[in-house]
Amino acid sequence: MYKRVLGIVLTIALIISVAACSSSAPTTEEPKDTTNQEPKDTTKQEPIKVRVGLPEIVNAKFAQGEDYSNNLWTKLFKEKINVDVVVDWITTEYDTKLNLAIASGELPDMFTVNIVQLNQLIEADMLEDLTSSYEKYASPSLIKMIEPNRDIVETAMRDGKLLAIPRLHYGDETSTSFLWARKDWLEGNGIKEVKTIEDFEKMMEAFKTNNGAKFGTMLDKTLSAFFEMASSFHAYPKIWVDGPDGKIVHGATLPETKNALAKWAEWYKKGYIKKDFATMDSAAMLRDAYNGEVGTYAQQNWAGWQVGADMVKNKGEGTYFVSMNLPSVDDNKILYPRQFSNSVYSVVRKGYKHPEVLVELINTYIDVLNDSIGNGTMTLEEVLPFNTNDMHHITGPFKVEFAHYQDIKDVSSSVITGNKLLGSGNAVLFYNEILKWKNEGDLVGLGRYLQMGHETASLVLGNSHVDNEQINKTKVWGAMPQAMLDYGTTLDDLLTEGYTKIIMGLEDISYYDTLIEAWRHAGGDEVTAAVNKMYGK
Amino acid sequence: MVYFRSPARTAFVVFNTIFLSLTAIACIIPFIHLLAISFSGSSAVAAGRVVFWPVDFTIVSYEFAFRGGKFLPALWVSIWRVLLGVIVNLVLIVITAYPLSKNKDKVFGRNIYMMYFVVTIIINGGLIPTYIVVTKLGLLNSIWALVLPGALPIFSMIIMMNFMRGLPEEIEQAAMIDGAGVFATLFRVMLPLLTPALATVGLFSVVNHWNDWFSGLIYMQDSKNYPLQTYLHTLIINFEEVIRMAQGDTAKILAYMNVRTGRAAQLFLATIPILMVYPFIQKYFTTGLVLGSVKG
Repeated sequence: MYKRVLGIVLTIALIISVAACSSSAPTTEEPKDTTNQEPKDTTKQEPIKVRVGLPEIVNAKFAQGEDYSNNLWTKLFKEKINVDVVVDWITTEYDTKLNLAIASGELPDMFTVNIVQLNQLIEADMLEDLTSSYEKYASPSLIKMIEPNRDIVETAMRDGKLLAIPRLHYGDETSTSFLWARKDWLEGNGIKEVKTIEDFEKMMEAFKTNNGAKFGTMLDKTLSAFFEMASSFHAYPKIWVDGPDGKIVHGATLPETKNALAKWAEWYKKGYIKKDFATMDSAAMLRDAYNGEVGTYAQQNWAGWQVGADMVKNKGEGTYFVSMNLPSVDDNKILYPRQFSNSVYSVVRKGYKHPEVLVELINTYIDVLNDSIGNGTMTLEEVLPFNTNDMHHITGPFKVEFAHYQDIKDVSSSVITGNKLLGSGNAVLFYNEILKWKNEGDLVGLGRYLQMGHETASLVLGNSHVDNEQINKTKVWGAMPQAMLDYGTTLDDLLTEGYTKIIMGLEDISYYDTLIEAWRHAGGDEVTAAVNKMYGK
Repeated sequence: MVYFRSPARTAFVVFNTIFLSLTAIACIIPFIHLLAISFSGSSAVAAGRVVFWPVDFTIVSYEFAFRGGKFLPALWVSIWRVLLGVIVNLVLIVITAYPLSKNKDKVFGRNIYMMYFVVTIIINGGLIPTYIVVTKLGLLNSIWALVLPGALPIFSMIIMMNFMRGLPEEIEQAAMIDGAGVFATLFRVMLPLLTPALATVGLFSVVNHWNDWFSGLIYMQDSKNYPLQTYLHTLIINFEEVIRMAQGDTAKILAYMNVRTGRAAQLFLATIPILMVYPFIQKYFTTGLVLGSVKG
């Protein structure tokens, strides 16, 4: 009796599961190949189908009825080189999704990877060789962008074969740090520039006594301001540098870092830094600025987007922060640390028939956004839709990053002198944003104005840092040794925790030596050895 | 119940009422704060000027939530998933627990089945094997990928089994004598008595399906198919993390700077449905239905 019932139940369960499985067809069908085995030359043939995996761009605004698989870019790719881009998947957690795709072996035809995934895929022989595709199909513009970055290209090569097209990066000019300070307070105190650390201390003091600031400068639990300002002390706590004995060492182990920490600990004691900064994230930290309790902090070029419009809305006209060069502890030139930042590579799945399509699509991307206005093939109005509303971020693997050095020069000189001279679609876009702020007082353009709209705007200074050769590149330029990857952020976290204790005065400055010793034992020595083996002379 | 009114008793009642009221207030304060934020201007929120009352009142966040075109579809996916998931869960729980609640002399191999189920509580396949199974079954991008991998929650099944064991056996025997078969007994006699247990495991199952964001993230090929919690998870990424991951990609950093109030609005909207479920389930949490059904 019961056995019979159980039999029926199990049968039903089986039927249900089989029905469920057959109810949805597998989404990853092999693309039907276009039978043509000859090299393609005309667009008379069947369109080539490319399946891609994409990271979702949170702020992308598509035109009515369009989406990732059907938009102005896909239409352009179809029209120019007869390629149908089909979206396999889109996700906001790109790395998780891709790691699963790698594990299950179901890769899209073309996609982007980070350096770790790239090495995994090369080891597993899952990537198509792009050497001949690049040599045959790369446009002059692409070659012009790639060739100066041989060091990055090296990271995408194995045994003389090119296995990925590196996305490159924004230029060095976007990697430097600045001192940001509240404009109306600067003017009220007649402060023109802050040359030395003493000047900086005087400024903090002036803001406290004359403007009612509760403390001197901002710091949050990640110690970001401390790290951004380390260059003032010629300390490089985040990168690998040449040590005194010619070996590569981690910047944190050098005495300059100790000096910087000692200064910050002194400031904490004097009440220049909020007592409970160690519990605050960046939102909590900025709250004090919006409430008029603090008027300076060290941050990168984009800080104007944080302390621009929101400052004006809370505190009124002219209260936004402006950028200045970092103060210096002595007369030596300040160098800015530069991490290796080619984080993205475009790759083709092994076995895909048309790897050259990747190169052709990247050519098209560069042509539209960088060259078309100059060549007269497209007008500004035609280009604009391609790089507004984050449309220039949605193409996934078919993209390279432009260095903005020239755009910054063009835009800032156009705004400052009034002679409009703009070389690219990006430049036009920035220029129009800035004019919105300058002419109409529209806060939408304030962030951009603080980046490149006046003589000491952050990126304008960034350009001058590049011109004056103030960039200090990390010695680990490219692939990381395995030991470094294995430790992840644990070693950095150990240091950050120790720094926090020193700054808060819980530990004396002499604790720094103990901390570095602990770091060495925890794996610092091992990583240092691995770095020297890989990059040492 | 009538209590004798001693001073001690009065003191206890007063203290207890105050204590429970404070606890209730502590629970509801964050919601009020969230609600206030969702109706405020974003710069006022950034400055921390919003506590329990909106500053610079605006409904722009709610417009954004509904017009952004993602919230409502995601909500629909979530509701659909909860309905399907709970039905599948409950059916499988009941038909599995019923035979297992019998002694092993009545059901052949009961203990072997039991072991077979319980072992899955202790050991699971891990993320990647599970993902591969789901992929190869062709479930990617379908609602079934969210429902089937956890179709039979063993823990709930054991609760149900133990509840069935607690029911008087005579009720079943009476049904059998009156000519009911196994299925008639289960569905027409047992099931009405099981409502408290069904409500309990049903609630577990609703909350589990509603709160699970990870499976939506990995099994959905297109963000259009995200359930609500997965979609919300994509909104709530902390800023430091973004800076660390962006590696100088300014656009990425800027994209995350101004979503504070929109976030609050969507979080608030997402809590409403689950709050609404409780009152309706409440009435089934009454035991004692079995009282008096067996005259000894």
